[in-house]
Amino acid sequence: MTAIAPAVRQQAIAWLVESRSGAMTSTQHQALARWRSAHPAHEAAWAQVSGALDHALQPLEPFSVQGSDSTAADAALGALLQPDRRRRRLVGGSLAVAGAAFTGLLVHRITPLPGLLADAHTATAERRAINLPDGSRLLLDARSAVDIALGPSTRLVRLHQGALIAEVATDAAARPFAVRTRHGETQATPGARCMVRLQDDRTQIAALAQSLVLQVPGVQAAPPLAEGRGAWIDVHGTITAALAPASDLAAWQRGMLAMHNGALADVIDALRPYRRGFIRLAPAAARLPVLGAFPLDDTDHTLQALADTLPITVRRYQGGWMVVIDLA
Amino acid sequence: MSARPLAPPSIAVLYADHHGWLLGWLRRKLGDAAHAQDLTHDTFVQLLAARHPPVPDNPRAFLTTVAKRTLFAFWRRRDLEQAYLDLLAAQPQAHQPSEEERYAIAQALEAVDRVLRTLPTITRQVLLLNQLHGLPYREIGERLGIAEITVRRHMARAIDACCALAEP
Repeated sequence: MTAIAPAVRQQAIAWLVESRSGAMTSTQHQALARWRSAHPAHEAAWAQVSGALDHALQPLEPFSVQGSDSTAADAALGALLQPDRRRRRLVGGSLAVAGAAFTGLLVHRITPLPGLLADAHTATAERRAINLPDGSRLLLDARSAVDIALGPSTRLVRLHQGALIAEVATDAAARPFAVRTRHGETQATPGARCMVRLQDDRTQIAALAQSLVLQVPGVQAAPPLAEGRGAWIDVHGTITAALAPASDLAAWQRGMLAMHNGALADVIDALRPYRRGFIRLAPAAARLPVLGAFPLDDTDHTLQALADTLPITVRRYQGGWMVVIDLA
Repeated sequence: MSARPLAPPSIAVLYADHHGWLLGWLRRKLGDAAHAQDLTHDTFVQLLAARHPPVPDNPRAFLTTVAKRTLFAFWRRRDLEQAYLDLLAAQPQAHQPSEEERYAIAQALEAVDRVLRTLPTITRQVLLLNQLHGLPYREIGERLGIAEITVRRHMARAIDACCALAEP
């Protein structure tokens, strides 16, 4: 983890406090977006601070208020407000000596939700089409977030989270069209269709119609990505060809996940945006190879199909809010 | 105590020499042989997991210190789980969790408690009402009888605690 200057971190915390107020105005949203894009250190501090908060509270996801049912949330709140009487009585002795860190038994992926502050975002299990003023169309995958900037000389879509498919319209002002993530930029010409997916450590791109130009800041332009092909840009700016055809990488537009040579971890990562609550995958099971096509819109069905075909156990808790997958 | 790293063989020696003694110590504290076995095991697992455990000048005092931490964690976990179940039972329409679910619940509560336990009750309450119940600051302020600006201060403090724990 990179060190963040204390002052920047304090700013990030102040913004995070603001963003959780439940009363943020659109002006404040814009101010936050400006602050985050003003400097890479701001965005890094934002990711770290919001990630830490989400990470710390993620175990409570199964207890969240569901509709009008707050019984689990109320009970969890009450339990966590209890003072730790025994510790209080005995602390101060030689307790601090051992220094043995209590390793958390629950290992969670950090899922920051910067999407709540973007121009357009989708909820869990929601796909949404957006028509842009220039006639282009975006399809957002579940739990995705974009900022859309149609300026006098550029058309830029910033993808902050999730995935999108862009259909690029011919522009009267002939402005270039690009989709940007923190890893690089995908430039598309009128008539092109492209899929861009942002993951923690890389960005996946698929050329669905026409070829695309991938541009990584500070790196010389790579040869265009041919129609029908996919590629990855990683954190180092390296571009790698994807083995799967572009159409498979965009199968989510029809609510499907197509796996040719993936691992169970990839399937679970793809299911997470389609499922409320959280899925815990044992590291031993994560690398199991998976082949096939799975429906994203019915995650219970997909989890059952995986349990039927792989040597795993799938256990559900809290009415399916928590799913634990272990090697059988 | 010196800070030389404790090599695994030393833990093996520690285990061979003092395992029985530690089990007896924990059994007396707990009054329960099965739990004492578990906690003795946990205590040694913690020694193995610690990156730089101090070499004990007095092995039994050292073991007692680590075992106390294990014991507090065990008690705290049991208190959290019991409080949750009591509160749930007080709401007759609530779904009563199974044995398996109770395990997952205790795990989750313990994980969050580790982050929150250094915070004052009111700060915990603000954070949980916002994050767990999804209440806006205005409503939290009304509920707790504090000003919205104070709600913000508690949120900032709670977020700061989360960051502190996330750091390596």
